[in-house]
Amino acid sequence: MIKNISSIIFLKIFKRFFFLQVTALVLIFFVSLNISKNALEDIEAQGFKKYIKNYISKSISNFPHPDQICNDLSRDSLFLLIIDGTEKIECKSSQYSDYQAKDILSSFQKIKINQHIFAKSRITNNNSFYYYFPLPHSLGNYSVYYVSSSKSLDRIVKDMTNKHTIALISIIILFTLISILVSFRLSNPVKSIMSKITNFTDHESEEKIVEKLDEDNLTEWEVIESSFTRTQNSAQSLSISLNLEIKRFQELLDAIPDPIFSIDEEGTVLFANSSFLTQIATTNSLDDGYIGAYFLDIARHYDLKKYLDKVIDLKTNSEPLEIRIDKAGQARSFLVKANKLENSTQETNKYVCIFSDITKIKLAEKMRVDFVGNVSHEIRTPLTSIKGYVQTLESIMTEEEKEGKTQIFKVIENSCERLTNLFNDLLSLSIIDSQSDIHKELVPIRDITEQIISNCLSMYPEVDVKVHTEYSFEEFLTDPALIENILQNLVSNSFKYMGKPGNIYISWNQSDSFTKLTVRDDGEGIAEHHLPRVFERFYRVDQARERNTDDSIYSGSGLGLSIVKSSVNKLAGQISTESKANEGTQFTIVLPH
Amino acid sequence: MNALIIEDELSIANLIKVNLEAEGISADIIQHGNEAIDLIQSQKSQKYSLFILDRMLPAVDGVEICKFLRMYKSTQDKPILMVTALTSPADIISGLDAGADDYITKPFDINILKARVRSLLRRVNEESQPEQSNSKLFNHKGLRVDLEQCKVWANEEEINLTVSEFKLLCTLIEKPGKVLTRKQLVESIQGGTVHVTDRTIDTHVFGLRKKLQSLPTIIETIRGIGYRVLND
Repeated sequence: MIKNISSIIFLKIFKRFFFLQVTALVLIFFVSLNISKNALEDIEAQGFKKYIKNYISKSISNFPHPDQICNDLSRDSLFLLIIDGTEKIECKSSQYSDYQAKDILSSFQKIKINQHIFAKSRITNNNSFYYYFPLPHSLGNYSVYYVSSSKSLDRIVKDMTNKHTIALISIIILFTLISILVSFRLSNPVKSIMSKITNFTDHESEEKIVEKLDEDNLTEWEVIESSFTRTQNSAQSLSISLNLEIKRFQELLDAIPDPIFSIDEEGTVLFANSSFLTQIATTNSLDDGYIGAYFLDIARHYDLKKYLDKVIDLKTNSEPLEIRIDKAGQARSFLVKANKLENSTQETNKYVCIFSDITKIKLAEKMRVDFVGNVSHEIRTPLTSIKGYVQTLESIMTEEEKEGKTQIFKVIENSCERLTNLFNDLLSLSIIDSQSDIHKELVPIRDITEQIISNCLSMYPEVDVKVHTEYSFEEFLTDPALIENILQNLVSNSFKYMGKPGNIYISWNQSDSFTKLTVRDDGEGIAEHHLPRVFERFYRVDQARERNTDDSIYSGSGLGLSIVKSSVNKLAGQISTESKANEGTQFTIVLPH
Repeated sequence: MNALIIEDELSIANLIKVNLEAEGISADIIQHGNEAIDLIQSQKSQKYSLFILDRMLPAVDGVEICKFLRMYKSTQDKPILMVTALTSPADIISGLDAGADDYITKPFDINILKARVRSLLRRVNEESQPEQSNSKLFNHKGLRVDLEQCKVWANEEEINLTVSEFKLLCTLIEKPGKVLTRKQLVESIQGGTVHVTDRTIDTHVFGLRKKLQSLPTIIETIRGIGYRVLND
């Protein structure tokens, strides 16, 4: 038989019912049988008692003669003996024998029969009725000993017993069926509790429970109780370890130097770490606890409130906010970012807010900007004087005075120009290479390209060149200043290194993941051994030519391509060069989105 | 014609002064920002028809002085030329937004400086002429605009402009030679339900230029800074 929890529990319950019922029924059976038997015997005896009653109620003088009684009773008797006071036998039944008489008389003694009472006994090993009654008669005091057969009664009793037994068996069968049904119904809830126990507690497998119920012979309630206790214990230890985890979590968050706090949609503070309380909170007394307080009460910063309101309204993560907090006389700048927390249940939304201290970054940035401004001013001022005064000198001189000095002026002016360009390029390069952020906006490529082309056309009027452009899209998201740097330097290089009349091709293309810019010319080209080094600062292909101050317009600072490379790098892009001497050069720039 | 030069570097201030005098413009020099502010506040600056202002002065920002000049009636409408060593667009825009009409970067070509000064003073002269200042007509280098009837002609050919384009054009021609930042242009055409951004301005100028094809150089784009209608 398959032993599983269901069958075992069912059997246990069934057994209880069954035994209970069978025991009760059997008890009832025997008791009822007994009572019935006694009742039957009483009825049997009634007859004899009635017979006796007749005489008892009569007066003594009306007692019948023993012979009469002898006649009355001898017929049906197994044994009849009437004796007088001297033990003289007055009458005896037909079956009478001396041998039998002794036994029977001693039986009468054993039974301790009382006056007028009969007894049915099995002592003498037969089912007979024993009657005794004293017969006072004028002739003397007689004793009547009468034993009659109980055969007919026995038959009746047997019949009754059979009927009883049949009834008992029928009822037992019926009650067994009822037991099965009831046990089944009763075992269901227990079964389901057991299956829950096996499901959620790891340490109670089905086999173990079967073992407990079966071999250890525990009742199902004991099994349930022990499981309960175990669950309770594990719940307690879980609660303890959970509290420990929470405490550890709090300690972890308190160890983080960045202020962090968490609020719900109403603005109630759910959590705040110690950095938040020291650096951001505006209230001095936090003894009342800050959990559950409205956040504005403990951190009175209205721009923060506005930001949080916006995040809560939009129910989404928002762009970070820069705020300044003045606390304890110390001003700090923070970058605040609020995120909505994952919410799997339907409770109200929760938000976590993290502050990053950017005071140092901002200070460094400010210092950098100030430095750039100061350097700019300090260098440009003397340059302005040089250029300006030379030009002024030229303008106030007469033609005669200028005779033979034009070249001198030109050299000074050109040198000034060179220095200015060099400084501008150095400054550009240093700004691009610095940590400053790029500012992305939608840049219309046609606009910016056309402008640069027209700049170059006016800068290099002697160059005979045709510019061809191709735009496969209108605009894209990028930093316009960096794009300008790239285009300006590449296109002006193409102009500068044309050599002979030629063409410049500028094309803009776009795919899903990147934007591509190609600047190609069919000018002088770059020799192969130079190619790997063209982007180096101050690397020049033709040292002599470029330093020639007469061709000042064509001289460059030597930083043009470095600026291009740095700009491309800042936009996280790639640049590649292809070139063949006297055939032309192509620069390809790929910018990811 | 009197000009005021506010510049802390004496050599540069003198450079400008000498060259202005060659153009027939006499110039005074102030080297300290605070002195300049005092002068403006005391209304003694009335006699100056032009201000040449250094963007970066010690103690006081050139932008502040610009704002002061624009605050007082006596100097409100006088042209301001900003001379700047700070060449980043943000710095230049902040100067223009504060009220400067034009800017020139250091080191500058004195011929360009002179040209810019001339352009600014020409506008002053034109404005001071009664019939011109009240006129609802603009006529310059092929571009004719009737502000009353809201009509535009390019080389005698009538052009159809949208409301925004027309407003933009009017703002530009109101002060020829003045560099207008995107922000200033946005403010001029912003109205009621129209939402205008910097990008919108660029688009409008692009459209305007296209429509004024026959006058390609009439609107000058100063990359990253703004636009102006040329005055020369």
